[in-house]
Amino acid sequence: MATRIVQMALNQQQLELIDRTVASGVAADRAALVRHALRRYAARHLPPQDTNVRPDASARPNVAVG
Amino acid sequence: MAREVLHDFVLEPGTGKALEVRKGQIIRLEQIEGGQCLDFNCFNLHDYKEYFHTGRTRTLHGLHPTAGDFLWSAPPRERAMMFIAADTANANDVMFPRCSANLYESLYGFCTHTNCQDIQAEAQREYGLTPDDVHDSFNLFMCTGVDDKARPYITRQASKAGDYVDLLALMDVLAVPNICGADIMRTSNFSLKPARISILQATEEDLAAVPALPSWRTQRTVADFRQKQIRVERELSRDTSYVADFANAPIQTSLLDVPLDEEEQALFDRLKRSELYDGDGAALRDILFSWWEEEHLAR
Ligand SMILES: [Zn+2]
Repeated sequence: MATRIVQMALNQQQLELIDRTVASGVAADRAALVRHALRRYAARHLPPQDTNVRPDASARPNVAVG
Repeated sequence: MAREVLHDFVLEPGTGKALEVRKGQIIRLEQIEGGQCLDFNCFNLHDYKEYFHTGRTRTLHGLHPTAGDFLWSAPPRERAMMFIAADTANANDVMFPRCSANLYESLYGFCTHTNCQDIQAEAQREYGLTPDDVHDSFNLFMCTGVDDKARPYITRQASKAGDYVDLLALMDVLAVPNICGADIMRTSNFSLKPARISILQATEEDLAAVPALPSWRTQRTVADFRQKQIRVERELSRDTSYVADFANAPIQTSLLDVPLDEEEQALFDRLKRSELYDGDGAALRDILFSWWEEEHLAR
């Protein structure tokens, strides 16, 4: 699997919001939350095209196997 | 259930009146002939530095607040001061500032002309407030909009005799309605007319119809202020013992590594706003917080 690392600059307030959201149970950690957000946002905003990603894909375990 | 009438009078053209409206009372502003704009200001009766704020009201309720909306105070207070309990004309504005003497001089050449700033100032002088204490008003019976070049405009209005707006006080306020002074503009269809003002005791049903609002720690009071004392000198001078104390400053940035698999990379590459951001990190941050907004801020 060709993983790409994206490095995000976040300040302490942004991290506070991320950590509160993680604590609500949406995702396991900060990076997982970002991936969850990316998938959900894509499901809502990208026209259905060459991808068969479902909106809840990241909510299910071990789905994203590259 | 009938409301008890506590006060009832005719507000004449060219005038305004400062009125104490206690929590649980309603001020009714009513058309007599129709077609008359009224400006309305209000202050917390027990702390005049808390006053109605068009900006917050506009942000929450749009350009034309009506029945069911609230009149909010300015930051850092940000409390609901009054509730719009009724509105039969549905033509109110929180976009335009109060009209002023300079408007009538600069555009029309008047040395002296009725205007909301000066009428408000004269009315509230009864309570010791200065002309600088007048704030932008809730404009009742005022037809406004925004044109296709994003410029605000005022047009004629269609309010009729008997149309009214009821404002229910959620705190003790000094309410200051005035007859808008614009007789040479469309605002009040090119004339000045009286309006009827009543103060009514709200009934149990009236009070029950006000939606419950949460209270927030950030609705600050003077007790929260580091500087509590209101200045009396006009000259500003530096406090040599001042030490800055901004919340959360310094802002500190750290880096978060987010591994994306191939599928996520493909989604990211289609979503990212390359026209705004040079780097992938900023583009991914945009997606994260855009998602968060959609998820948590119902509009
Ligand atoms: Zn005016």
